[in-house]
Amino acid sequence: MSIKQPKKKRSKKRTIELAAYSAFCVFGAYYCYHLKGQDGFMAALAVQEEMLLGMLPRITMALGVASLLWVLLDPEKLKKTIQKRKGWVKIVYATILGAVTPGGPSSSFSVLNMFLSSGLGYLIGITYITAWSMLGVQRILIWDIPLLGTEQAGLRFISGFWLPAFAGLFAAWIFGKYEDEKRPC
Amino acid sequence: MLSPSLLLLIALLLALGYVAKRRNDGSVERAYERFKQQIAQFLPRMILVVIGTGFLLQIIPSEMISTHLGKDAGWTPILYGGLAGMLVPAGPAVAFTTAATLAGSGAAPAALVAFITAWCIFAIHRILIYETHLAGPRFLMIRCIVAAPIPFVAGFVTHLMTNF
Repeated sequence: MSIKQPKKKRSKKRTIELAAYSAFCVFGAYYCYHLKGQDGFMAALAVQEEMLLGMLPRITMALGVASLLWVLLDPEKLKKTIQKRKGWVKIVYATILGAVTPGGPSSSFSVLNMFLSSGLGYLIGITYITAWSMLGVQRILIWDIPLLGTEQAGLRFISGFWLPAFAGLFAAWIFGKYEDEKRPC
Repeated sequence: MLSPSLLLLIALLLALGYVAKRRNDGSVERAYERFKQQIAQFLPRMILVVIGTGFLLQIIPSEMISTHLGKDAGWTPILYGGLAGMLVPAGPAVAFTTAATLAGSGAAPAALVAFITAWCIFAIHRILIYETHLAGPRFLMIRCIVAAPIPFVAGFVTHLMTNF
């Protein structure tokens, strides 16, 4: 499901990322001590301890859930399901499919390309990719819930679950591409 | 202590684990392999980001955040949140910890929804690396035009829900 990169390249990228995050910590620690003194520094350590103790169990569980979803959901089967539907049901399915598509952009964009090349048009394509980007279940489980809490994650979901369909309809209306549309560009 | 979000995740894990086990096709083992990869990938970053964020929380004056992004600031937090989210050129670790930092400093839920939604839809690094190549510039342009109002609409709906 993920992009196949050479192992060396991936580990180099990971090392650079970790170095950048470590630098962020070191500069944060320096400026915190410099600006707020020892009391501020100790207060920051207390905040970090609280955040880590609260987040680690949630992140571990969330990664377990995301791993199981990644194994259980098959984008190919989901695509076939959507092609069988008609009218507004298709839009609902595109939203659900976008939300549950496992993996990163490589898998979602390959599903999108299949949609566009099989004539599903902007209505379904835009709905699907917008749902994937803003309602992705994996992202909600791994990032939203552990870092921002269930209430904030719920607010984001409730306020936005209907918006991918709105974006799809808007695209189809403005650009005049409903169904029976071949791959653009 | 078991928080509601942890309980929800445990329940989901058990339910999905049961489904995977019933398949009896090695799904559990594959999920476990994936889990180990994900832990190795995310956990060190997450810990470092939390440490950095802890220092940031001390440095950023929380009064400033609550004045400009707090509940009492009206509609402007939605505008600021949405625009800031569009401009974050980094992955989820940075975007979500920034949101957690803002939340800890008193930012309104509507501003956070606008911020995260904008980042999710318009993550610049994803647009440059994937979208321009995988979907083509025309599709990307159409998607950006029709999705532009979404973070602000989501923020507005959240504002209505939290101030009702």
